[in-house]
Amino acid sequence: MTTPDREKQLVRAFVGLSDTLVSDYDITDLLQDLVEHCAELLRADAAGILLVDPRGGLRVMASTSEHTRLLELFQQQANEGPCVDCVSSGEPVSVPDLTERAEQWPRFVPAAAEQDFRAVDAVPMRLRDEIIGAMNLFRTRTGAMPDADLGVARALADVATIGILSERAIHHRSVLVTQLEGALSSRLIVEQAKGILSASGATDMDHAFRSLRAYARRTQSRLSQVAAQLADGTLTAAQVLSAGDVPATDRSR
Amino acid sequence: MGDLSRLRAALAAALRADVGGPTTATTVAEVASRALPGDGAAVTLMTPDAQRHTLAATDEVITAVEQAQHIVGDGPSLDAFTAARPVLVPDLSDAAWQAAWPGLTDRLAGEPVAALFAFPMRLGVTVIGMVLCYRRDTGELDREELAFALGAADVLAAALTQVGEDNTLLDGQDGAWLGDGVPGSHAVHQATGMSMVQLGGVTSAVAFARLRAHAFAHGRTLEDVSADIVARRLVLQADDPDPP
Repeated sequence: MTTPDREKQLVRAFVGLSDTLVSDYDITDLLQDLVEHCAELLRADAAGILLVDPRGGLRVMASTSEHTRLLELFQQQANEGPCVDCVSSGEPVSVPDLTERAEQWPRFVPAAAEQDFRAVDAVPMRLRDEIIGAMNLFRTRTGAMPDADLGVARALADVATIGILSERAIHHRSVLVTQLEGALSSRLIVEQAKGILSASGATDMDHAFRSLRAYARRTQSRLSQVAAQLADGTLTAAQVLSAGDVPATDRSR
Repeated sequence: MGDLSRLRAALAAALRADVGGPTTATTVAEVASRALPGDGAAVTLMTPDAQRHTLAATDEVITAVEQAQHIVGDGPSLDAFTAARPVLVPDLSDAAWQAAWPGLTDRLAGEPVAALFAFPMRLGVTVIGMVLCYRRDTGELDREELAFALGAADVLAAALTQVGEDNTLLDGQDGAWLGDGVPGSHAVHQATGMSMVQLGGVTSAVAFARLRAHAFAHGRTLEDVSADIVARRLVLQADDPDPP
């Protein structure tokens, strides 16, 4: 690949990744673009991304090939290998010759060799103190990745990291809003359902609520679902009230 | 009046349940309402379809303002909610406001309210409710008070969602973490449900409109009328529109 070509490609890769910051995008697409750009630009024979999951483990999120054995090799690094080291240190891990690390990674090195990989680099995906995962670049020839290439890999990983973190922040906020609005709406509609039951069955609010809860439990639905069905008439008060003959000790509310 | 960092600290204490009792949206709103400028304040959550749930109110005057807004379905709080911006009314007797909310200003005639200031509680672009402050005397909020109230509304919005997040795993979709809100607020929804049946199977919107109409026509609050319905001292009749 000639230098001007590479530069053009690099610019395209950056523009492609930053596009994801402004428009609607899917995180899987972003990561897939990243591994493909990196493999091509940095002359790697395979590339993959592992992200830290909510429980602190590492999960394969993207790979240049869906080949099962390659995915297994990536996933194996949840336990040992350059990715784990990279995520825990937050620094790149370069392994120009995998055979030299056979003792350190007794399972990972033979598994890589089985697929003809001789060298690997792991680049952290981090923003300041937050490390969200690492990108893996495998090569079938031994030798270190040039410093300039490593710089490119880090820059691409940084752009993708910002995209992922901002998407997570927006998603988190919208989940919170939805939860809050949902909690409020369901609270109001449950009170309303108590009123419907109370008026229909000439019972008090306490008995109405116990009937509502007994019916919800019996049908394994949420209180607010049953309440909404009562309000829109898909469920009659009589149906719910017939479930209400429950022991008076069941009064946790 | 305080600064925002003091409010954040007070809300953080409420979130750790340092203020005693289980932390609910109601307790957090109570802490914030006391810090707001003016002579009193209220905190109200709104559902996406604009149903109100007042979490906290510092005194009877602001409670009366909230109740009046609820009945007439109008006022600075609703405007702040729909427009997602503050609505500042330094003099409620001004003809422009009388024209904007005629029913409201009439109903508040006997209350010692001269100025109202409503601020949306925002999370990103979504407005989840509003805070409302009142003053007994006319006059603008000064720059500091205005800046504080604006910030406080957003700090409170974040704190309220934090309560929700902390409690989601505990009580699922039930919404018990909202707390009781101001006294009587649940009765309004219960009375709406009862009236849906008693009016012959009408929708909740129709039942609530009849409830509001009855309260409006009789110069009573929604909470009082609702309490009567729940206690079966009052039944709204399908063929009996409320006399003026």
